[in-house]
Amino acid sequence: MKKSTKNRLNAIVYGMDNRSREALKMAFDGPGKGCCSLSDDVAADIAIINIDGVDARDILQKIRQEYPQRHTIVLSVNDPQIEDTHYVARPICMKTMVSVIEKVRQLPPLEPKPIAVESSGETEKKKRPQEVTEPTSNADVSAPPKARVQIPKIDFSQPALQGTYCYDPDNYLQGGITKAIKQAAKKNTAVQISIRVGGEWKMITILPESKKVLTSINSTLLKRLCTSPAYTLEMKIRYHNKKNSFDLEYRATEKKAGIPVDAFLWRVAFWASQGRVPSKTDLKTPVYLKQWPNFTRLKTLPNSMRIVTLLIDKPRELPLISQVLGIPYKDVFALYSAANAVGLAGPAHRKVDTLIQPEPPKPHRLHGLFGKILDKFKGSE
Amino acid sequence: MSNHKIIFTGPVGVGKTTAISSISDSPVVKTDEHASDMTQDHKQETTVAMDYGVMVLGDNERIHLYGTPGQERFNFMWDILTQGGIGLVLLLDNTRADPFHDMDFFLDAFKTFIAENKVAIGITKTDISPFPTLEKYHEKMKAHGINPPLFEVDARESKDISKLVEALLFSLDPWLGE
Repeated sequence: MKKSTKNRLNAIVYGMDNRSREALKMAFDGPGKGCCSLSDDVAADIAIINIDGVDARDILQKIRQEYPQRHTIVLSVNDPQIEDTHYVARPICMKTMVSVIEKVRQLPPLEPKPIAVESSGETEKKKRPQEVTEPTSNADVSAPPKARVQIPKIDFSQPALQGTYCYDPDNYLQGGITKAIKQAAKKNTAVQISIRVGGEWKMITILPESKKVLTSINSTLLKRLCTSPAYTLEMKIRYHNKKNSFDLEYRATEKKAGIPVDAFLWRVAFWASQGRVPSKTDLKTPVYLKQWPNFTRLKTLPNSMRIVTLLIDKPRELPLISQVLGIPYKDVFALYSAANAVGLAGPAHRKVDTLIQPEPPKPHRLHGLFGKILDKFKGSE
Repeated sequence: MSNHKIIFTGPVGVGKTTAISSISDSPVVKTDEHASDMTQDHKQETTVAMDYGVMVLGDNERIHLYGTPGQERFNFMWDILTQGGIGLVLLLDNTRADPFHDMDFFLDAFKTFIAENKVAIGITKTDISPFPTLEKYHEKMKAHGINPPLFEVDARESKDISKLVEALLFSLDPWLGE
């Protein structure tokens, strides 16, 4: 093996993408106090492997066959209990990593022996020194199978940012449709919104009894209309008489025509929001989600299930969800806007003056397996 | 070889066998016999032991899909089938006389398993009977103190069933990538 210079060990890393490697390199240079440097040399002093990565166990087996005396540090969300390795929990706490590296530095080379890398469900747990501590937010270097993006904190209270992160639904088609839905329910009659598009009138009809929307406007045009400010649209609203309402309701019910009102409004609000929250939203107030949206019948939004899982668990502030999950603010804001429009989400009422932000749930012990199931579903789409 | 399982349950005729078929990589092993009780009002054959399907994730990993028999007289199988399960998919038939009774029954029957794992609920046949609405199911759910994923599904559609299973997995672990 290549001799390290001074007291710095050389480590070769497996199972990490470039962003994660860079983050780990910076962490070693900073909080890691230079105890280790990353190397591309396959004969480096130690190996560090993210065992949650695809084919990671095969890679581990191979490198241990090639360098049987070299110590290996395995990174994982849960301790995989692999013999003759040193475990550091992910997300990485640098204090723990440094401690493990210092320990490895003092150890003699491993005795070569047949290597068996077994899955966690098939072996008895073997005793090993506990090296895991709770990760700290200051020194975390997250290296999940997909690198977690660090979302910069933004002061959303700045007036200059209001237009970027907020929108008024009444300034878009969403406002007109919301009012039409309320009026249709109040008067128990079909309400029609007509919008002039290129010299032609296009209709959106709200049916209060069947709770459906009839429209011939296709998705592409509807999206364009939803993202255009309302003052650019020529619109008329009229109420159908009882007979016309009855005929339309019959068409929706018996002929199974139309789209459910909630699914329609969800889409409209998502497009109108363009990744923003309704203007009266206080981003420092936690929001609640009443129930899971009916995702098999609604437009799927990026990261929606992850966001919903956190909100269903407990009310949380929207920007914090973005930071904790490492997903763009616009994804969180868009989902909230859509859910708020259909009455599924809103501001939580504080019971005390100061609210302690609830801890997010920990990854499941079968995190890696669940990821493979999701990949399989994606592959079959 | 790593083996895990997801259990599908629900009343007779709700579509458990069909749902498993829609996501299984191998033909579903069915244990059907001719229905001799009131089940025959719903269908000619009914599952008397369990349905079995499998999702293959790689050389060393399988997700076993078990469908419980729907009749209550086979409920001794339910405890056996849930052992080692990672989650439960409960399907409810919106055309049945009292789907809320079905929901209460199955959530109580699997209460211990659900407390330790999670459940995702799919409502089938809403195209035939749009009522009760999902909103009503959510209201009734409050009595059980849980707030699980609850979707309309067509058991024949793999995209619906896979979305339901995805929601089950995300409710267990929000750190999964999308």
